[in-house]
Amino acid sequence: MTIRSINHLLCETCSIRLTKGCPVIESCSVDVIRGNKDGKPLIAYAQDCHACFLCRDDCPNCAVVVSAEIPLILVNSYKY
Amino acid sequence: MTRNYISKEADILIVGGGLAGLWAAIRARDFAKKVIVAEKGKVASSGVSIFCHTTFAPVPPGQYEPYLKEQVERSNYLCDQGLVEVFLREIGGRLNDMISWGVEFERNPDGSLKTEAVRGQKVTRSALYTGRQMMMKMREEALRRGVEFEERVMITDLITSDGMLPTNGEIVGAVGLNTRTADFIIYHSPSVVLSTGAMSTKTNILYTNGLSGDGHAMAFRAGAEILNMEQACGQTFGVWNRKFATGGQQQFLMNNARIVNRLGERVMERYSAQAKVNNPEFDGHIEFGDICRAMAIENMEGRGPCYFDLRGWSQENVDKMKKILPTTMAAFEDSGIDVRKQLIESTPTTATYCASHQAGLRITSKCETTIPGLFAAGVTAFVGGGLSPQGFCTVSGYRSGEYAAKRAMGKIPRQLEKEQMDNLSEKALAWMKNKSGPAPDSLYNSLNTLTVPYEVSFFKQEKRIKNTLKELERLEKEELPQASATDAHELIKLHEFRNALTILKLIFTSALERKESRFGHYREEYPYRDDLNWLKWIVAKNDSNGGTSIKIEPVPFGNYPVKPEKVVKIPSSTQYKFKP
Repeated sequence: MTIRSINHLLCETCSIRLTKGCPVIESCSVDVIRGNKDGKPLIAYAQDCHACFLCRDDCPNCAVVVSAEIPLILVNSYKY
Repeated sequence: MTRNYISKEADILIVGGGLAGLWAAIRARDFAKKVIVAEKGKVASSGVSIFCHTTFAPVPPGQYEPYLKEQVERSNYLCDQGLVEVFLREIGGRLNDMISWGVEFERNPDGSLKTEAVRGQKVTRSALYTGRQMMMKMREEALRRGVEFEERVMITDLITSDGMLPTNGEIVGAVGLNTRTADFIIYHSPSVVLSTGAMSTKTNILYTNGLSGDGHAMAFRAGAEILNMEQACGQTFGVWNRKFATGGQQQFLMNNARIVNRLGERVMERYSAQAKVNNPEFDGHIEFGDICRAMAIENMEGRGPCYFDLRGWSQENVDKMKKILPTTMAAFEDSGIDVRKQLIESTPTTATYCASHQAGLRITSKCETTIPGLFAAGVTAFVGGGLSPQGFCTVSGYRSGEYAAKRAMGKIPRQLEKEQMDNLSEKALAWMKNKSGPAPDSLYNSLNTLTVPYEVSFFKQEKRIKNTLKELERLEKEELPQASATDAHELIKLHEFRNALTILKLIFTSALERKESRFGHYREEYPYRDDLNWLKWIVAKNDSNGGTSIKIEPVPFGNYPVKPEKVVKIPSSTQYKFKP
């Protein structure tokens, strides 16, 4: 569900990370992503992801995998 | 306990780095030297504007009167017409500014701005851009002008000249926390602009989990007047197959989508005379509140689930939607859904609160709230309805920046006493001292379990409102003080939860007062729009005893150019009563 993975192998040779800093670390508005000591992005709080896709779109190397499927609070509790 | 504080000074502090906040910052720099934007996430991409694509188109020559009339009618005559007049006169100039900064608007072949009528527009029009491109240009312009960004900072409370909340004095700054380190920061600033956007209870709807109505809540705590909060309820049916909430309901409706029930019947025909008379394929002109309630009733009465029917779409339409709603259309494709061949289940549910300026802080045409030194812009401010949110963010952002800056000129940021700073710091960090106690996620679960069901959210009734208020009070007074934050991330969530509670209490308090049904507010006992008695503003204020005082003011038509042509009482098209 939502953010699935970040492939650090693709971060290895990222010219943006090595010059200006990884843009993905600053993409997230809900603090799901933090940076590690190598300046690579880590999924720190996966459960808070709301699948906005900004992190995936900000990565020039397609290292971030996000699924649009998302837990929807109480939607299954309604009568249908 | 002695702590090291980070202490900063500014001429103007702008809380919230979205469209309204960036406009305020850009304009403030025309007058003030030190302009700080404090943003909980990343400036320009942590709110909703990055996903938007329509704003209000400039008023063509000779069209001012019909534009004004339509905007007032769209608000059901509840709007502050003074603000609407300012808006209509200034939006053209603001769009020209944006064009000069590189914002790309869609154009006709002759180079003129392309415009479209979005939902509800008969005379007025909308201009079109790509939210992301627009916001990146606004961010660049602010930086180019020397605006300072303080990102990953949540402002948690305002500071007042008398040290009180609510205050009898003026605003002298604000305090906040770094969202990653929990460092406590004090901003000393003679003017503060609140442009913090909407409020989400973290239901994962429409990318708004990061918004928590901080401006609404902080200003209320400080004693500012806040209007028509019963209209702050958001509803959506942009929930697909019970597993996606990727946006697009508006666009689908405007492009000939139908809403059908399990039996294949067109849902809105049962409820809306308009739906029968107008283009039978087009549900796009009907209020979202009515559509959501209609779908909920269909489901509860056994004719559900409801579906979006896009099977009449041309390939051209599909391609257009792929351009405007790439994430939504990609989600369908990934799931193997061909929108031209299959129905898509749609569920009505609560969405982001305070997402339009139908509810918000009272402001003057200079965007001043009722507290000196405090300004509001965007959806944090009250207009009363009818305006394009993107357009109003633009005009009010600009004006709030100008007048906040002018007020700050000649004023020196006031320093606080050490004891006051100690108290503020302790208060902001208190939840980190609790070693056990409810976690923020568990509190949000309780809140959503309470407020999401239809009998509380969509269809309100006196007893159920009072029970909800009682439970909100209990969450605030008993559970929240004992909550525990294990790190900065959880601490920020608890501050957000605190603000969500403040706002929901205001919503239900106002809902108890408004004895009619209008827009998103529905009362079972009063299932009609009552212009005879309810062309009024419900004004709430912190009464300093921990409660809320309510004033009910008639809309001041004596001062306004547009008056209702006839005063009506219209039964709601979507009526429902829950069994007691």
